[in-house]
Amino acid sequence: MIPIGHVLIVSGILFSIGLAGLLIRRNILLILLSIELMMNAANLLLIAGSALHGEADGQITAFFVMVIAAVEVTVGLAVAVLLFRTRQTVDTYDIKWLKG
Amino acid sequence: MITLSWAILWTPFLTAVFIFFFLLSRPRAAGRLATCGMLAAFLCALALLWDYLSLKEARPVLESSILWIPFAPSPVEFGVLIDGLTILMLLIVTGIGSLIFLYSMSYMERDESCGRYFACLSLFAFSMLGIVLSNNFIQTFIFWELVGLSSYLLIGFWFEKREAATAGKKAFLTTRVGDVGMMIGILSLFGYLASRGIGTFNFLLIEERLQTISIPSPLLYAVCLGLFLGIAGKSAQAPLHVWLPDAMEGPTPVSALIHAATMVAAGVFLLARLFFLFAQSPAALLVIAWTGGITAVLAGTVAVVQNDIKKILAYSTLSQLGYMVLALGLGNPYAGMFHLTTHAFFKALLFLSAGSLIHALHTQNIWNMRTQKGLLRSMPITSVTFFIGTLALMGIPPTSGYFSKESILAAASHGSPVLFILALANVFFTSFYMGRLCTLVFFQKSHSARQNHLHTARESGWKMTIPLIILAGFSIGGGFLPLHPFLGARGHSEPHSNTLALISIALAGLGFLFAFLRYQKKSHEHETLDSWMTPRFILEKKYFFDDVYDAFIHFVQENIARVSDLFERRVVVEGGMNGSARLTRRLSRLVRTLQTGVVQFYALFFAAGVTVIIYVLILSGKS
Amino acid sequence: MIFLLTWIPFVAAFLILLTPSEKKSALPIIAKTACLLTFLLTIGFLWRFRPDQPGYQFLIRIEWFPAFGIAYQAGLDGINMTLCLLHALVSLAGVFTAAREKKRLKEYLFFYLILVGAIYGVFTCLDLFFLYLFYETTLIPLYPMIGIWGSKNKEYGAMQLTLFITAGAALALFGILLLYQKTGFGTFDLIRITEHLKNAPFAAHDQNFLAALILIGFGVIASLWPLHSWSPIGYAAAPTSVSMLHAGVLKKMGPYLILRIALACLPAGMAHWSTLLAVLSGIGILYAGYAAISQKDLKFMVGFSSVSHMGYVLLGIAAMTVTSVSGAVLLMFSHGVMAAAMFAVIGFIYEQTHARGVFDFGGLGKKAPFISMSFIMASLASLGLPGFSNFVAELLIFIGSWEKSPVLVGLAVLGVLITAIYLLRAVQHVCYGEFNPKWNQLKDAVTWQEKFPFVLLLGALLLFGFWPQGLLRLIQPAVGAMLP
Repeated sequence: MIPIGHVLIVSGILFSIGLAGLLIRRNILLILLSIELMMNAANLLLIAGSALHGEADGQITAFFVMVIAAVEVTVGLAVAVLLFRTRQTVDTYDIKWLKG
Repeated sequence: MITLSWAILWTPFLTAVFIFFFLLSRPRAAGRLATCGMLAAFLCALALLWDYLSLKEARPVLESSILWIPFAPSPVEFGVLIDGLTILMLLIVTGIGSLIFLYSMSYMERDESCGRYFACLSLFAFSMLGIVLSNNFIQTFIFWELVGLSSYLLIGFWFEKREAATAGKKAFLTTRVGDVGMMIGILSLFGYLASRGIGTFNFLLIEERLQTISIPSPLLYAVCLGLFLGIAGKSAQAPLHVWLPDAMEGPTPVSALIHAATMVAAGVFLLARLFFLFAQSPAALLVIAWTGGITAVLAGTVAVVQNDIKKILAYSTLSQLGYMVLALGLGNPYAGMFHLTTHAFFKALLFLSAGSLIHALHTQNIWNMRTQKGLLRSMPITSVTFFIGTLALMGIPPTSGYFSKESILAAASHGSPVLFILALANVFFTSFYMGRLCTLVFFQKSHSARQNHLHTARESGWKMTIPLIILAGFSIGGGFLPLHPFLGARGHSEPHSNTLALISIALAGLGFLFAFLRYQKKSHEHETLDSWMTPRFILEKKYFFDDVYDAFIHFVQENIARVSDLFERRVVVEGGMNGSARLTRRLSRLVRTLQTGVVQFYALFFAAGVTVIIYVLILSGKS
Repeated sequence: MIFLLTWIPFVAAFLILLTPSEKKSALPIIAKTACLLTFLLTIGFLWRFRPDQPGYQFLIRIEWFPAFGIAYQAGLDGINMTLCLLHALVSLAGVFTAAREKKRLKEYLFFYLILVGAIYGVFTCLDLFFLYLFYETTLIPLYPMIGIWGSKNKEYGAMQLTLFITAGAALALFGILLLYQKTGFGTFDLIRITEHLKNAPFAAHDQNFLAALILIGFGVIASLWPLHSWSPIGYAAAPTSVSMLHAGVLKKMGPYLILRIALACLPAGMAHWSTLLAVLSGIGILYAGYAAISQKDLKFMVGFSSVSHMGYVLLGIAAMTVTSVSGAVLLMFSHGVMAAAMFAVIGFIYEQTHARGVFDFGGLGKKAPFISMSFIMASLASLGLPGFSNFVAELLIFIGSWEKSPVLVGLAVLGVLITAIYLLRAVQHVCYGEFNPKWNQLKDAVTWQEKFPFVLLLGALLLFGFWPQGLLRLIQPAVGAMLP
């Protein structure tokens, strides 16, 4: 058995990388990728938790998360494609039309 | 008897309402109805007199009222109070009123809106009778205001004329200043009585209670002054006298009824009615006496330079009212009321005959009233009655005016010497201006051709001359009327003093003589020299009262109003309301900078917020 | 039965929505019928009202949300009977003016009827929740009515009026909710709350705070100085029937709610603030009076005049004696009717000439005698001439407040003089003098439909001027029961 502490640290590192990528990267596709990374980090933690407690709840939830991730990526990519088609850019610093 | 008095009160009201709803387009019928109404009221008043005289007690007093606003602590009632004073006034108002209504039917016959005239005149009669019959302060105040309203409507009767409308407004507002004082006086009195547990508005009750408790003198002084302010407004005492001369814009019968015989007398009447209150405050009586005396002389001197016959008579009224107020201020209500009665007769007479002259000669300027044949020949009744009125006004025996003026002068002789001298001086002035008037109108013959159309001056019809004759009769005989049953409770006539009588007759005679000599040959007044502050200038400017008031309105009132308006527009609206809107906009602009539109900016806040929450949760979990 | 007062206009509004706007003749008929029905219903209630019976009459209670203690409870006592009568008179008079609106009549009548129904709701409801609900409902139609159908500066006027009153309402809502929470019953039932607080009042500082919230919150719509500025601007911008309803009725909701909520439930709090309230009212009377003198627009003048008169009402309430509060309620009635009549006159002239400056006219007495006479009578009522009920009301306020603060009453009496100044000046310039030939086509009110509103309103003033007991016998017992 891998100690839960190691999994926590790996999951945390993955999450932080994802978060950093979300906050720093300018390309929408890379932001989506970072979000994927964060979700995978959460998945990892869920499965580790399930292994720790010996119950299946975590793994079931992990399945849910995977499905949601898939759906979200679909929609997100569709939006990104449409965005590129209409405005010819995927740079978040240029997508400011909802500015207050 | 009580029913009779209610009938007297409500008959004019009913005629007014009936005319208003049905007869506005039928002026003749309106006139007839109104006159019949007044005559009916007069007959009722006579019946009331008969009943009253046949009562056995000496100087009885009757009262009856209905509750109008029943509330604790003190109900406001609506009632009638009948005593000698009331009956005297009722007779004067209805009697002279009927004569003037009759006269108006002829005087106003060419005016198509005289339906409205008679409605307003009946309304006035109702209001005046209300004051006379009233038994409590509130009712008096109500009818006081209504009389002011009727006066406003009648002065501004020919409202297309700008001067008439302005004069009406001036009258209403000036008397309203007085009313403010009166209301404050009433409230103070009631407030004090209520604080002692006996709050009431009823005259008889107050008189009775004042015998047991006494009001502290500063408060009483203030109450009396407040009430007197209202009286001064209605009876046109200085400094609230400025509306009366302007009120001559109204039709002449209105001037006769309202501004000579009745409404302006209401103040004097109220003073007599409330004398029990005023008598307890010698300080107030002093103020009243001086006001009366000063008004008398002020008006008498201004009358000397007036060229309009009605204005002269108006200032004369002011002057005589000053005498009445002076008498009351000196503590002799009998003298004051006596003069009120006789003055009602001869002043109404003077106004009505002046109206007859104006009607026939189409002018009000005394310099234009000369005729070739002399008015004595073309309009004998008018001229003779006018003379009789003048003699009464000047106080020549045996006219009624002589007796009443004597009693006032006798009262004055016991008072302050300055007031006495003022009163005597006014006798001279009165004769002087009346002499001037008579000389110019009656004693001169015009030789110039330009006065041609005046050759056809004819005597007026019976509706105008009968009232003149009746009033002339009373002006002569009125002095012999037994007024003691009516006024006995309120003082007595002074003992007759022969020297005083001779002095006053001499002064009167001198005044008339001087005027006659001076104006006998004059055909026009001198032009006023440009130098100002000559006595003539001051008089022509009526002692600058109107100018001071105008200046006050323009510089003080308009500016206070402007301050209010500016404060409203700049501070409250601009600063407060629009300012808060501007502030909100600026704040929102500040907050808007957070909405950069860049999605990562929002994500940063999101992440930071989550971190803080988790941190707080862990911290609170730890402790 | 009493809920019909609110719901007949709402149903009629719904019917109007369903009527196609081409049927120009059907729309006024529906509106006038609705207002007439509510008027007759109010008269019916007045007839069956027993002044000697304590408490509320014609009470109904329909549970709505028992978990929060919200029920539709409505009833009439002397005070809101009088105010319902006021509203019945003004709304009936106003609907005749509203029906003459030229553009988009359907929408206008729809909003008008919603407004009428909601005001009945405010006056009849005895449940704090519904009271507030209807209060806000009255605000909503005002915004489009002023903003679309108004005259010069209408958007600004609409915005000001709505925002200002809503701000006050928000404060008052806070007060109401606090009141709800502090009584601890979990009910909005006003009758129960009043009863409870009579026997077990709140602590002094609680009462002071709550009373302040209610006073400021509802003081805005009662045009308490210095929160009054929306009034002249709003009325000048509003169309005639809205001005009539607003100056006539809506303004009276302020003092009414102060009476119902603050005076009945929080007497110690009211007593604490009474001096300040009296002083502010006194300032309002004189300030607004002087401001009215310098106005050149008739509607602004009447707007400031209404602020001035509300000062008298608030002064009467501040004195907290039976006499003065009775006078205040009577003045609410009288002033409402009078203000409606004034605005009706001005609106009538404005419809034809699109002018409403004081100095624009002249000699209307000759050209349009009926309208001139209505104007003169309304002005005379306003300046407190005896014969109209305004005089009796002001007299009662003066008598009742004299012991509390003679100085302020003295200033208030002075205010009567100031009112006379600007009103008589307006009468002189509008009705008297020479006729201004610019307005040759001005027509007088001829048909009975045009004359009826004036006859109704001025007749009511005269009736109760001669017979004030007619209303006072309703008001006094109710006020007596309300004051400690």
